[in-house]
Amino acid sequence: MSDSGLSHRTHLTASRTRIPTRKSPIPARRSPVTPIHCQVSTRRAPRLWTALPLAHYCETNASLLADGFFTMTEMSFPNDLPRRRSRLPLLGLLLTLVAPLVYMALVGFPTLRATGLAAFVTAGLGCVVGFVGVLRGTNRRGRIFAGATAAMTALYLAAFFGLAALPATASTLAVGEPVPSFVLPDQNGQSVALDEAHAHGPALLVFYRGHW
Amino acid sequence: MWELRGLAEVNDELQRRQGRLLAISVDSPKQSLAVVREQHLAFSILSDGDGKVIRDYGILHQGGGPHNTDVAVPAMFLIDQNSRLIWSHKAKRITDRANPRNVLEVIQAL
Repeated sequence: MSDSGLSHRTHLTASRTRIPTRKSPIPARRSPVTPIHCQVSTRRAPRLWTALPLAHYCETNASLLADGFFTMTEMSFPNDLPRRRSRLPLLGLLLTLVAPLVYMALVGFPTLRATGLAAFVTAGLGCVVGFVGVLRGTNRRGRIFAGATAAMTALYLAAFFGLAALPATASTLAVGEPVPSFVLPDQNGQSVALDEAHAHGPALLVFYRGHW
Repeated sequence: MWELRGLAEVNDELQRRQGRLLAISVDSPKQSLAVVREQHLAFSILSDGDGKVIRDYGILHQGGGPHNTDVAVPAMFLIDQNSRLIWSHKAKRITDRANPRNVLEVIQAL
């Protein structure tokens, strides 16, 4: 058996009558053999750590094999078995779903806010992970996950670059021209006049969209 | 609203130059107070509830807020002591904001 060339790509099938024990010793050679089919692996390609113990068992019991208690066949792994399921598409989808949260968490950084870089890197990473998962072999659910990942990323891109456009401002203020003056209440209800704000130095007005 | 937190250094620089930073939105003073506390702001937020000043500056986004309310397009105006515009920035997209570092450079170049 040592020269049987067992490798991790070898699919083993062993047949035996029963395992010889002390209570029931090795049956006579001519006893009827009822093969019990025992496959190393069904759903997945047999791995080295799966195939080796069986190979070892067969080698150490080579005499039993010779006596006909074991019959052993080697088969190459058939192509039509279900493909190995990869969890990567699910991971990719989760990464892409997390992308908006990443954007919100880093929204305080102006560059990331304006470009959405962090969110797109996260979503893109999710796409890559999902794609690698599909390449590695996955089932139908995995392919649906990968498709959803790509769709989510496309949606983000559309939302970020398409729908987020603001209307063109009608602002006619030009550099060097005087700006409209005003008096408005601050957060404590006290009136603040623009003329007072820039009386001694430059004033910066920051208009923002509100607390929501 | 998030952009306000990044303006601390700009506010410091303006105060050093005897100037002032004023944030403006359509929020009520009560809501603005909550924002000042939440974001730990060292400058004031002014309330332009009816949007008159926002309209004067030509940056009203009609129906841009929740429940079709009018809000301001995110924008910045730097004004000198003679009430003249030195520099401005207006957002073209919802995520568009002036980089505080650039604003700081503009102020320091005065």
